[in-house]
Amino acid sequence: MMTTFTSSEVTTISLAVSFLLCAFLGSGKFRLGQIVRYYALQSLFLAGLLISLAAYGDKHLYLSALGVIIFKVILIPAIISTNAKRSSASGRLTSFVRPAPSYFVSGGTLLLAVLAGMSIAPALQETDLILTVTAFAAMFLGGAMMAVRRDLYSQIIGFFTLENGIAILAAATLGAIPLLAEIGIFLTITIGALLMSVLSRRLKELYAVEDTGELRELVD
Amino acid sequence: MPFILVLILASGAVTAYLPLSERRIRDLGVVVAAVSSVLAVYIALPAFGVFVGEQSLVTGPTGVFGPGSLWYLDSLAAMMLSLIALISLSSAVISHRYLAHEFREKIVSLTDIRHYYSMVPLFVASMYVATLSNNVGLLWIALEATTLSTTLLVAFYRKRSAIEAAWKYVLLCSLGISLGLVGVLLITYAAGQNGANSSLLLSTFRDIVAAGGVNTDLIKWAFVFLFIGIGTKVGFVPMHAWLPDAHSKTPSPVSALLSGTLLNVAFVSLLRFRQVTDMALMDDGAWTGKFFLVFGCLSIVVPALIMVIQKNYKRLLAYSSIEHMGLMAFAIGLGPAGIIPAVMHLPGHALLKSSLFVGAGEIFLTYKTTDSAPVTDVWKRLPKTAVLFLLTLLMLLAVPPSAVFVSEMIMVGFGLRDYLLPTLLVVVALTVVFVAMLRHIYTMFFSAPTVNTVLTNGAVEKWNVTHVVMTIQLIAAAVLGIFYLTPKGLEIMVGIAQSLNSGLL
Repeated sequence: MMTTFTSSEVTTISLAVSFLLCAFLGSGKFRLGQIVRYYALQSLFLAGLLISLAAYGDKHLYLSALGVIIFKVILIPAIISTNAKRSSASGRLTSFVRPAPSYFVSGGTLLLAVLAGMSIAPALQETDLILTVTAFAAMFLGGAMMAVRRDLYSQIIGFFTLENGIAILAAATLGAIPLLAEIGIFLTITIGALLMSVLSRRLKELYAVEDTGELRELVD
Repeated sequence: MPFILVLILASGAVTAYLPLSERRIRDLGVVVAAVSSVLAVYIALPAFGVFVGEQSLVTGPTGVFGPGSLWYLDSLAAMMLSLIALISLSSAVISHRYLAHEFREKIVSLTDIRHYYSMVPLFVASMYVATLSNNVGLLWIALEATTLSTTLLVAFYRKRSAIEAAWKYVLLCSLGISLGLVGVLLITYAAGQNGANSSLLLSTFRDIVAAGGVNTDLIKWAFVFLFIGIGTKVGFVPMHAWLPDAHSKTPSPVSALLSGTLLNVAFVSLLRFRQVTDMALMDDGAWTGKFFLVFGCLSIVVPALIMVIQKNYKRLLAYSSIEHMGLMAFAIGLGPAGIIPAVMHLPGHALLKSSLFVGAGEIFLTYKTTDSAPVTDVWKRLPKTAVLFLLTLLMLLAVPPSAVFVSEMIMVGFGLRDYLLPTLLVVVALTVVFVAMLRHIYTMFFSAPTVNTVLTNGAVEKWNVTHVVMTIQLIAAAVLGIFYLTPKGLEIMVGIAQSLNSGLL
C-alpha cells in the first residue's frame, strides 16, 4: 500500500532533510567561512521548519522562527566571523581526520542518531518521527564535530549544531515554549557564542593557539 | 521579592562601571553583597517556620511562593538561600582585601576590577534564581547563566592556563546544560502528555506525576539526560574534567563561591528533577538511586586517587569538592533515608570548603603560586592562616565535632547496613583522601624553606578579615555538627530532607 503525504508533511520533511544536509555537509568542511555559512544556512532551514510547523499548528512558533533568524542566522555567525577576523584566525581548520573520512564519521553518526531517535520516538507518542530523528541527528552530528575537530571554531559550530537539534526537539515535543523562556534561551546561547568567540580570540592573540590539541597545560 | 533581589545584584553589576575609584568599587561590592544577603535571608525566613512538619511549601500572604507561582520556597531552598547569602557575603568581604592586594601589586587593573565586580553579582543572582525557581525554563537559564557569568572570572588572570580552563569550562558546562535541556523538554512533554497543562512548573509536574498515568519510559529518558547534563555542572566523574581547572584558576574568593555554593545549587536542582522521576516511577527511588550510587562511588574513588599525586593545592581542594559531591550522591543512592545525611552534608561542606579556598587565597597572595612545591614553611610564615587552614581541613576530613563528621557517620552507617561492598570501597577511598590531603598540607606547612620559595617580605602575619571569615565558618561548621546530634537538630534536618522526598520518609 502506498503511503500518501499531506502537503504540510512534504514541506516539513523537505525542510528537515535540507537542515540535516547542511549540518552534514558543514561537518566535512575545513574552511572557517564555509562552516559558518553552513551553520547559518542550517539555522535558516530550522526557521523554515518552525514556520511550517506554525502554519499548521502552534502560531507562537512564528516568534521562535523570528528569534532563530535574528540570533542564529544573523547574530551568532556574525559574532564568530568578526572575532575570527579580528584575531586573524587561520581560515584552514584542523581535525583528527581528513575531509573524506570525516564524512564517513558523520555518516556513521547519522546512522546512530537514527537508531537513537527511533528508540526514543515510541515514548514520544504524538510527536513526528521525522522531527525526532532529525533532532537527534543534529545533536549527534554536533557532538561528533566537537569530538573530531581540533580547532576552536569548529568546536563552537559543533556545539551550536547540537543546540539546533535541541531546538527541533523542543518544537517537536512542546511546540512553542513561553516567550520569556524562549528569549532567555536565545540570549544565553548568544552570550555563550560571544564568550566562546572572545576566549578563542584571546587564545589566538596572546598565545597563537587555535588547535585544542595544544591546550594541555592543565593536566594531573 | 526575588525580583528585587535580582535587581539589587544587577544594579551592583552596573555600578562597577561607574566612574569611581578602585577603592569605591570594592566598597560598593561589599555593600551590594551585604544588602542582597540580608534580603535573601529575609526571603528565606518564612520557610524556617516550616522546617519541621509535612508541609514545606511556603504560601505566604502575597502568594509569591504559592502554587502555580514562578518561584518556589521550601525549607531546602531556604537553607540554600541562607548558605548562598553567607558565603557570597564572606566572598565579597574577602574580595575587598584580595583585590586591593592584587591591584597594589599591579597584577590586576582597574578594568579587571570592574569586570570582577560586575560578574560576581550576576553569578550570585543566577544562583539565587536557580534555587528559587519553580519554572524549569527559568531554572535552566539560571544554571547556564552561572556558567556564562563565571567564564571570564576563570579567565581573569589572562594566562594561557587560565584561558584554557575557561575554554573547557564554558564548552563542557554549556554542553552539559544543553543535554540537561533535552531532559527538561522530555520531562515537560511527559507531564503534558495526558492533556495536563504542565506550564513548565516543577510543582505542577509533581502534582501531575503523583496523579499517575505518565509515560514512565519517557520520564526515564528525561532523567538520564538531566543526570548527565546537570551532573556535568555538579562535577560527577567522568563529567568532571572542567572542574579542577576552573576552580583552581579563578581568584580564590570566586573559587570559594564555585565550590561552596554553585556545586550545591546544581546538585539540589538535580534532586528536584529526581523527586519528580521517583514520584512517576513509584519505586522508592530505586531506579534513580542506582545512578547516584554508581556515579557517587566513582566521584569519591577517582578524585581520591588523583589527590595522592596532586601537585597543586587549589586543584587538591577542587578534587576534594568532587569527592564531596560524590559523597552526597552516594548518600542519595542509599535509599530514601539517605537524603538525610546528604542534606546534612551540604552546609558542612559548603562552609568548610569555601573557607579552605579563601585560606588558599591567603597562601597564594604570599607565595604567588598555586603549585605546592615552592610553598614551604607556611606554619612559620603565615601562622594564623596555617592554624585556621589546618583546623578547617581536619573538620572537612570529618574530624569531630564537624558537621561533615556527623553526615559521613550516618551515611556510612546506612551504607554498611544496605550496601556493604560499595560502602567499604567508599571508606577506603575516604582513608586515602585523609592521608593524601594531610600529607600534602603537612609538606607545605612544615617543610623547611627552599631557595625557590618566593618571599614577599619578612613581616609577621597580621590578623585580617580572611581570618575572621575562616574563624566564623569554622565555628559554624562545628556548631552545626553538635546541633545535628541534638533531637531538635535531627528533626529539622529530617524536615528539610522531606521536601526532597517523594513521600517516603
